[in-house]
Order: sequence, then C-alpha cells, then structure tokens
Amino acid sequence: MKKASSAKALCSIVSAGCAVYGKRDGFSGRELFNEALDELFLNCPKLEKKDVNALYVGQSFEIFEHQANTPTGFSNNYGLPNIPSVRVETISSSGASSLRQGMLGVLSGTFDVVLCGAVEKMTTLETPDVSEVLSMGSDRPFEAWNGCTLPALNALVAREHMRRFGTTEEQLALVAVKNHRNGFENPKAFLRKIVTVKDVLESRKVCTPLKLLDCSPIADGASCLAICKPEMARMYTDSPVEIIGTAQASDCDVVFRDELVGFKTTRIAAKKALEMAGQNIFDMDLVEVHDAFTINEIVAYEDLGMCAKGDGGKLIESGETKIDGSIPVNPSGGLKSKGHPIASSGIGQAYEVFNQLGEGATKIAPSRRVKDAKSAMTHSMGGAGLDVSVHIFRASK
Amino acid sequence: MVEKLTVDAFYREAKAGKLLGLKCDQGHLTVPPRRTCRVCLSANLEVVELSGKGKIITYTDVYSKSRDYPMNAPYTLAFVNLVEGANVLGVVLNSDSSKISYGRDVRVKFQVVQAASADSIRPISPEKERPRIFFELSD
Repeated sequence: MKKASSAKALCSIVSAGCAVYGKRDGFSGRELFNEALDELFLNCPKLEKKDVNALYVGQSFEIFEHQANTPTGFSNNYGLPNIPSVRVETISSSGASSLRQGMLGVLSGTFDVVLCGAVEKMTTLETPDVSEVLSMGSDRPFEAWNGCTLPALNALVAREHMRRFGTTEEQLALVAVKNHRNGFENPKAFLRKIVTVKDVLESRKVCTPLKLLDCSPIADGASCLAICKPEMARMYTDSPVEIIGTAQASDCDVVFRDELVGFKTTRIAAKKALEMAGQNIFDMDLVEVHDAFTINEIVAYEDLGMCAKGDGGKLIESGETKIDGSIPVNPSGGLKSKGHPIASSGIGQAYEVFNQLGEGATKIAPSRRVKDAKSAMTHSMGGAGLDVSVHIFRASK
Repeated sequence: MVEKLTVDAFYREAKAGKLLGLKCDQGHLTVPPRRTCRVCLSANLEVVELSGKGKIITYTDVYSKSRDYPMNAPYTLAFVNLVEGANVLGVVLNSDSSKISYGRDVRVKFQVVQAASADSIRPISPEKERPRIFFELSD
C-alpha cells in the first residue's frame, strides 16, 4: 500500500509548458523557450506576467548558438521586463538545478512567483561536433583529452555492470523498448516510434556495449515551470502540484572513484528528498529517471532503492516499471524517446509529473497515463553521476 | 621531482615518460593530480613516481568520437587500475578488441598526438605539445 505524504509543501507548481522536442529547424533556443512559455501562460490564465518575480534558466552549453547570457534575452523579449534572470548549469541536470534555485528563491522569502525553465538548442552542429561540445561536460585535461566522451563513460559503467552482475544487452534494450512505447503517444516526444529488442541490438555501435538505440537522441528543446509559495497557489489554479522534497549532490570525476556500477549522488539525493517527503520509493506512483543511456535507468533502479544492487536488469525484465506495473518509470518516454536537449530534460521531467498529477492528466493518452497518480519522483543526473537532483511531488486534487 | 603536481607539471613529466601520482600520509594514492587525497581527503600529499603498470577493469570500443580527439574511431578506451592502487583512463594502442578483457595487463604510455585542425575555440595554449595517456598491452 502506497503511503500518502503529510509533509509540508515547499513550493507549488501552478503551470508548466514544454516545446515539442526534436530537430526544430528554423527555431532558435529563445523561440523554443517562447513556445514553452506560451503554453505555460495559456494554461494558467490567472497567472499574469507581472506576477513573475524572477526567471531561472538551465542551459548547459552556449556554444551551440554562440550566445551567452540567454535568460536576460528570454525574459525581456517575452515581456517580462527587468526581472532577475539567471542561468544555471550542471550539464544534463541543469534544468533540475534551475528548479532548485527557483525554489530556494521562494523558500528564502525573496520571491513569490518564479519561472524555472531550461533550454538547449543542439542541432545547429553536426554530431561529431555535438560530441565535442558534450565532452566539455567531462574533465577536460584527463577525460576528454584522453578520448573519453559521455557515452564512453556510461559504456564503461555498462560493461562493468554486465561483468559484475550478469546484466545483458537484451536487458538494456528492454529499457529502450519500454520507454519508446511510452513516448509513442507523447506529443512532445522526438522519437515517437515503437522499437523492438532486435532493433536495439542491431542498431549501430556507439560505444560498446551501447548502441545507437541505447542512447537518447540529440534534440532541441525548452521547458518551463511556474512555481510559487504553496499558500498562494490557489490564486492561480485549482490543481497545483506540490513539491515536498528536494535534494542535490555532487561527486568527483569517475577516475577517482572505486565504484563504477552505481552513483553515490543518486543515493544521497534520493535519501534526503524522500526523508523530506516522509516517504519511501515504493510510495511513488510514478518515477521519471535520467535515462540518457539505457544503462542509466538500470543503475537508477538500484540506486533509488527500487531493487537490490545488481538486480536492475531483472527489474526491467519483470515488467514492474511499465505503465501498468507497480512502479511505472518514465511514462513520458524518458530522455530515450522524448530526446535529450541536455538542460531541458530536468524540467521536462517535472512537466510530465505536473501533467500526470494535475488536471492535465485527462489529456494524456491512456496508454501512458498512470491511473490516479498522487505522488511522483524526478531524478536528473549530470555527467556520469557528477550531479544529481531528486524532487518529490504530491497532487493536490 | 616536481613539488606541486599541477596538470601542466603532470603532463610535462609525462612527456619525459614519467607517470606521477600523489600519496597521502595514510598511504592512499591519487592519480590524476588534485588538491586532496581521493580516498581520505587529506591535503598532505607527496609526489611519487609510479610504475605505469595496471590491469584493465572495464573498457569500451568508441565508434562515435568527439571531433577534437585525434585518433581514428573505433578505438578502445580503458579504465585501468594501477598496481599501486589508483585508476587511469586512456586509449589502448593498436587495440584489437579480441585481445582486451577484464584483468588484462597494460602499461601506461604517453604520446603527443595533435588534433588535425584547430578551427575551433579550444584552450590551445596550455594543451600545445601536451601528450595524451595511452596504454600498451603487456606481453
């Protein structure tokens, strides 16, 4: 039996928006962010632009558009003049970090209403250049300089997990199969196609044992949440979603660690966030985890405590993380199917949770809707376990 | 022996064939250099020369590489545990996947390999002439 939380709400989400992810030719990062903001304000007519006190924007790399200081341009171009507009960066978890920074602004009493967004416009460069840019998220003098890429670091983890625990390439492929099925009916997802285990196994090698369909696709994307003090939420919507747990942890580069088959950052952040919420992982009705690579989801199962260390492969096989399983993981389709516009992924996860737990649930296709969902977790990771943020959410309906 | 093992000093010595690491007062080894011991966080570190010998723990054949890494893909990236106890990441020279497995003995070898072009914004100056970390398979 899942236990409801009676924890105090930290902040409430009153609206959310997300640009369609994909290769968005003809749209700059700023315009994709506008798309997310248009949805956010359209769905929350009582929220006026003048109510917004600050904007935080996760963005990992400015080199894609040769544009720094993006948040100032975003707010002032959108008609949110003169508000503090700040960029936040922790590579792939930049969006989740943006949410945390916004929450801290509200919790400190400085702001009433904050927009927490994220953006990444990636398809301006060819893939080998994107790989070079992404490898800036690893340690330059010792990792990138010596041939490491982010997929390669995760491949090292995958091979060690397979050796230690007998995890198979088929089990990794099952993560892609599940998440593509979920993403198939997500109108925001980039790769809306069903894939089979055979498709994954036969897709071209990226970094062995990881193949193309084990990796989340390069994509353009933007997303944004409007959060406020919990006591103000009903001024804006009848179905706010409350954030009742938030935690973040960082770690040293992979080469300094002796543990390759798990990420301490996930364990620390999840434990703290769940403690704040007064819940455990099995109280969650759905979990959005960082699945930039299929191995990440397997390892996240273990580090989040959904199964014992080493049993992640068996958990995906059991079907318990499918939509109709006991703990659905990545009903959105995950980064795997939606696409991974680096920073945007962390906010994109919260966008999914806001809709699953709020009145947006009725608009979600039944094939990927979690019935009567009341509690949810998001898990967002930067690099190979370098930074993790975990958030716990509660429906107010 | 260098007193302060900066990144630059590490690679300068590497160019002369020396693999340097840091040993703390508890005897833990840290490679590559950083301000504190990777195990106990002691800031009391002494520069030591290492054998360069180690074993492959895990590896990957990289088919999709970063534009600025100068070796041709596919190449094999390995995570190696040195006999003295720290880890090093690098690419296996003349790699033939069939010869690589968990526990395979290797030895660190430094080589200068410059990127083909510099038509991008990269920290050219400190990296000029800097060698890269490779591994040779031991017999």
